[in-house]
Amino acid sequence: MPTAGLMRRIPMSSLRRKLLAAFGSAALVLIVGAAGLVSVVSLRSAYRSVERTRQVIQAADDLEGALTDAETGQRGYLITGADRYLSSYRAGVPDVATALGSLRRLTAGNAREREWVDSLSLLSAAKLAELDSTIALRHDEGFVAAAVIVLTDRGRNYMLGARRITAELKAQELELLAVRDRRQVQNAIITFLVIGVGSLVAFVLAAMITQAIRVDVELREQDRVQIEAQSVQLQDQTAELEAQQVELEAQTDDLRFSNDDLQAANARAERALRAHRIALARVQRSNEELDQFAYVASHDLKAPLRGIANLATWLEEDLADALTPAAREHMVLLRGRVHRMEALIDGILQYSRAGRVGTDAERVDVAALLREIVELLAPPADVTIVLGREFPVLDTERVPLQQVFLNLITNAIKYSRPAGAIIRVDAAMTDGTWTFSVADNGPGIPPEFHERIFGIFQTLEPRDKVEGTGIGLSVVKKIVESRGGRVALESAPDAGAIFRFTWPERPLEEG
Amino acid sequence: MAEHPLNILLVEDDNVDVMNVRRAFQRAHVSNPLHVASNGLEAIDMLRGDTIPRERRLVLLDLNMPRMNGIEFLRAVRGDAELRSLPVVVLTTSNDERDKVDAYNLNVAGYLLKPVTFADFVDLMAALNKYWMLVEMP
Repeated sequence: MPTAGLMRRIPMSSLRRKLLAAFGSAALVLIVGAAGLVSVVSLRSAYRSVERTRQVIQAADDLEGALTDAETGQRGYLITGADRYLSSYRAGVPDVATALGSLRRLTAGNAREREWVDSLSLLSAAKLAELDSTIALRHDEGFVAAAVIVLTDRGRNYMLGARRITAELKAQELELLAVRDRRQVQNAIITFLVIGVGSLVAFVLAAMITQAIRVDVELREQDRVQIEAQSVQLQDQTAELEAQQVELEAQTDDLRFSNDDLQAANARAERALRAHRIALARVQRSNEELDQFAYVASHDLKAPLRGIANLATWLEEDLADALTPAAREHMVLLRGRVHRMEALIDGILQYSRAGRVGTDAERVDVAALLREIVELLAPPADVTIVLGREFPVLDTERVPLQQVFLNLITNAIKYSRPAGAIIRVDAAMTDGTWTFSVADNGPGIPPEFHERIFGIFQTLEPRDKVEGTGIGLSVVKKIVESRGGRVALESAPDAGAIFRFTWPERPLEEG
Repeated sequence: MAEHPLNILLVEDDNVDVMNVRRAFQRAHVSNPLHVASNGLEAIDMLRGDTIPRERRLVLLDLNMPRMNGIEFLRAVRGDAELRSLPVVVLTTSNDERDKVDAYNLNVAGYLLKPVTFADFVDLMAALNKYWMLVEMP
């Protein structure tokens, strides 16, 4: 996934670091700018200071010069008395005031210099007054009177004082200038350092950020290329998918067509199935009706038969002494036929019930079932019933299975040899189904009768000779086949007979 | 144990079966009076009328009969306020499970299959009579 790749390559912390570095760089640039500004302001201030010092010195020199000019003019006048010297004197006087004004203005912020300037003002005023007075004296009283004043050195002292103060003032200003210069040099060095180092660091940071951004851009470029490649791949896949979809739609159409065919076929099959079901239901109903008919008919047949039996008995009892031996014999035969008819009717009843699949399946231990049957039959002493070693436990209907075994074993006993009959019951599993067998060592059955004996009311012996109705085997066949099993006979004359039947574990039809 | 006489009503359409019961009673020395109805409707008329004494009645009922069969008769009796508690014993050749269930759902006192031989029938009638002679009734 490309997005995840980008996230992995340029993590947030790196981005944050870069942003921080960029901010730092900007801050440094700001600091450097500020330092430059401070430096410029400072330089300007220094320039102003130097200018002021120059002006102060100039003004001091001007004052000194003006005073000297005035004094020179006075001396000339005093010596010569010529008025032309007075003009230079007069020219110097306003210059003194001008220079003093400049000085006062320039030293306004410095108390100490201000004091000096005040002193200079007094001294200048005094000097100018002395000059003025001496000129006046020369004019009014002549050279000697003026010279006396000059010789007092008062004027000279004023001049010396003024020169001393101006010198001090200039020295002071020059000292201040020197201090300012030193400070200016320090400031310049600091400013240089700030600007130089700051610029360098800012440059390095900017270079690093540039590098990082370059790397990012390269990575993004790689990702972009990768994404483009994936996008191309995706487009290919999309195109492929679209092609498949078109194919699928075509197939769907085909399917729809074949589906229509199928539905038609299905409808036909359903119709056929419905018809089949109806037919089956009809057959089943018909079979049920037949069974019901057999049941009702046999029941209704039994009632008059019992009446006949009863009446015969009563006749025999009532005429006990009057009957001839022949009549008594007929009465015996009559009772015998009545009993046989009752047995036949019972057979029909049994047969009509044999097909009924109604009872629920239960767990049946076949070995135990067979032991019960043998006990129930209580075979004569000369009949031996041998049970096999292995019998299953089945989930099946108990009563019909019991009926099948009962009928087959009864049949074997009935048709076995008069003496030394041996009947074997066995079980074997073949193809997932149990096959049971009942074998006897009787006279055997010729092959041509193998089908016949399973028919209802079919016997191979005269009825009077062997007590049999011919119902037992037909009931066996009906029960076994209605449960989905099969019955088979294996026999030959004088070789005994083996009846085999398969018994599916679950009833074929549910309920 | 005191024995009390019974008023027995046999509901049976077959004459030979009626004779069979009479003969069995005779053979078993049953002295209780035997009244006979040949179908359910007749039986109900007799039970509502005065031909049979009201006390200690017992009905022996066949199931397969014309006009009103045994089960229909039982329904009519159980729906009748006066006859509701009447003891009825079914005596039939029907071994049908459905008949048994229907009969017991209508509160029969017993369900007997007619034995095939006369000797067994006599024994059954003797036992039946003996038992009901001992039963207390309201």
